[in-house]
Amino acid sequence: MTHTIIEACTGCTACVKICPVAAISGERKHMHVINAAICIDCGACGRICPSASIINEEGELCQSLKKSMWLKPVVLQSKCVACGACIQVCPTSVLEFDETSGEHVIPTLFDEKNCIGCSFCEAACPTHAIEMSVPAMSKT
Amino acid sequence: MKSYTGKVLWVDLTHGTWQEETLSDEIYKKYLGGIGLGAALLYRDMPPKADPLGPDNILGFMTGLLTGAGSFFTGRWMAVAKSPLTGTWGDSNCGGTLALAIKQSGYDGILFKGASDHPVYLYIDSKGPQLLDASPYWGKDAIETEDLLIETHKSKKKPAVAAIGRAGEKLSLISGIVNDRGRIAGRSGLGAVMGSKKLKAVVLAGSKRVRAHDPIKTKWLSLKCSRDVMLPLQLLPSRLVSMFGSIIGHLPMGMSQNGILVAGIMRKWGSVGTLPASVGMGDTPFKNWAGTKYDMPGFNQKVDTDFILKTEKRKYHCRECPLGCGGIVELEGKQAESHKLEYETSASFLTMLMSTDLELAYEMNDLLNREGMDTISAGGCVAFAMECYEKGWITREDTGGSELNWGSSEAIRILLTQMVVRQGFGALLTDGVKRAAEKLVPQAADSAIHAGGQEIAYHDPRLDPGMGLHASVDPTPGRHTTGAQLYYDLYKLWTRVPGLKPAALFYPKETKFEADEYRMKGAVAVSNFTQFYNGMGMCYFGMLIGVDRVPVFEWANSVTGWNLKPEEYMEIGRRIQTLRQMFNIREGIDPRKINVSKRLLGDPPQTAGPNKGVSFDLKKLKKGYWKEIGWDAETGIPTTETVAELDLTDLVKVGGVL
Ligand code: SF4
Ligand code: SF4
Ligand code: SF4
Repeated sequence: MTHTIIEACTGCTACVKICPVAAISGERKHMHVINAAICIDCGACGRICPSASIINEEGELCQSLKKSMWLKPVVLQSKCVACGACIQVCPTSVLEFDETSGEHVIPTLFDEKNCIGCSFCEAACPTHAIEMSVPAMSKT
Repeated sequence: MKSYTGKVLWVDLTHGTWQEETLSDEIYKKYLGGIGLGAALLYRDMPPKADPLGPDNILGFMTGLLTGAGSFFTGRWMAVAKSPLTGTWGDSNCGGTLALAIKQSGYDGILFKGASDHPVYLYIDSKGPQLLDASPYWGKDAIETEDLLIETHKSKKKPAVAAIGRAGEKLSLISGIVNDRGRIAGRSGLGAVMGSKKLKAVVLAGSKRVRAHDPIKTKWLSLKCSRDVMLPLQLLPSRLVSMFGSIIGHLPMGMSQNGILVAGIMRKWGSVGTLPASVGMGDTPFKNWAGTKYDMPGFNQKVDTDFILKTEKRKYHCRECPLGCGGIVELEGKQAESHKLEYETSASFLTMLMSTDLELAYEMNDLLNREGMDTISAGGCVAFAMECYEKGWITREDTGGSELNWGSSEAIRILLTQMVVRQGFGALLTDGVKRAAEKLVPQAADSAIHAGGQEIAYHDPRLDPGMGLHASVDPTPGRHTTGAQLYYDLYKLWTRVPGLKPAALFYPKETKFEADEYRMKGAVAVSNFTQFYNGMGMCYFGMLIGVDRVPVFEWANSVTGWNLKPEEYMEIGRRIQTLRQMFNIREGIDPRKINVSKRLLGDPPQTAGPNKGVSFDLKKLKKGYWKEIGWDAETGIPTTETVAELDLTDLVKVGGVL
């Protein structure tokens, strides 16, 4: 099972806008549906949904979270081998090599605003060079 | 969780339709992905004796079984089709971002049949495939096409693009398929197959996830591998590499080599880093394979690979690669950013043509990558033309006034610029040396260096007869990636596969030319292994580091969850190799007739250089190989017993099933 929407949905369309693969459809103010053949279980809809209406692939109700609290990747230069797997799995293409980062260039999150906090990059990294953290928290 | 999608996409370009085919786990266990799955599907679905440039040919973009699942060196995709250049099984391998993008679009392979009557491109995003009009891009080079298509389809996910340039559009039989701004699946002439189908590009913007059966084990292996392949050679100057080559070339004994050195050289310079050593030891051909390094004294000083490093702005890694042998170079004010020269291209545009004009090589490399023409074949064609000119078989009248003198930068530029668009005198060379020779005096045939029509990659069989053997005996002739004695040393298969003998550090040189048990078992093991790792989507450079450091057999199990032994994977490799041979047999190819040109066998022997006096009997080696792999030792046709043993009987009969 992929992510699904339950009846509590108010049709606010927040999930439609955030979904990186356009898996969600529905009319404004009506219940939305997720196309299971398209959904990649990134969880963004669950995090954004203000009315607790989304169930994840494990059947649990998703917690809505303020966007500033979403996890973001931090690339650890010492562990990164520049393989680019993270860049390629990112469904929103917000990671890119930083061309000033040295000979073997390493990735950086250049478009933090559009990162949906899915952790796909972290999961893909073969050398555990990506750590997910909340930017607001790590700054304090 | 599976690392493969269990599906391929079939696109019918004649009717503008597509459909998915679901494949069982058994099929993957039998043929793997990549080249193996490609061979099985093409064998099953392509009508025998299909016109390679007609609608019956099938062009597949295949991705490896390991690709995207957290292992390293797995960012390689494989183009497969019947080759219009050789009429044999054709395949060509390329890196960049496309391999993973194929899988992310939800398929283990995308296969095209039929032909469109107008230019089209395939676009796949999360909603599925679409065939779109490519007229605005027809006539543009591959890099421009890629940039424009990315701009057109810029949504959340940045797409990966593979396209043909003008060489493929003009059906040049030495054209290839280009992705990631100038990386090219250059061999077997598959760009022309794409052109004949009026398929300008494939644009992939899927985000489907790929996962390993055992991600923790897979990553643990990857982490270990990333440490095991690092040999810091930062301080090693190219001069020492050159000396090393010369010493090996002039040793009274043969000496086997170690893959970790390959890793160090690749990481520092890329494949071009091997040029000075290859020149020194007699691996790199000069003057259309007729010359030696003594024809260009001081070549390694004049063409310094350290210079290439100075022009390198940053390294380029194919996806999932920790090594990064690629590089983006720029020549201030002369040459915009482009992929750097590979070893093959440098031999092709420099030593083969007696040129030391490195800047011209940069320029021509960029031109050919843009227009989608194989630099190996193209340089071979120019070398052939220069030799014909020297011998008077081509004259100034023929060339329209150009003098095709050895080393002439002007001649090289004119010919290549004409060749990519099939214009002027260069048009003669646009379809490779074999066809060019057929239009000249009969003697010219001996100067056309190829195997089965494919120009030979630049590693001298007189130094490593395995290069000549594999280039002649492999179902895809003329290639350097299918096998060599050197690869047996480097792959170190004996550390994983029972029954294989370790290579001795030193050995008497003359034993290289023997068809004895050690050499033949080694040659067949290299073939089988090559097919295995090409089914897995692995990089050949990565494999040259050795299976003791790059754990491909271990990854194969952690990613698929199959728990097969290395020897079982090798047997799958033998199945793929045999199936590709059966494809050729069905096409009416006579394996006895596909041989590297006799010049490469030392007929006549060279009178100077590291390979002075060498000549050898290719027939004997071919027979030894055929016998060892289980094909008829006289004809090279896989025996009925072998076909049955490999469980291919059902596939190779009429109306066969996978
Ligand atoms: S989980 Fe992600 S992909 Fe699936 S519907 Fe929600 S936002 Fe879209
Ligand atoms: S968490 Fe990683 S993969 Fe997901 S959107 Fe952010 S950068 Fe991309
Ligand atoms: S996947 Fe990991 S090692 Fe590869 S580029 Fe990204 S952070 Fe670096």
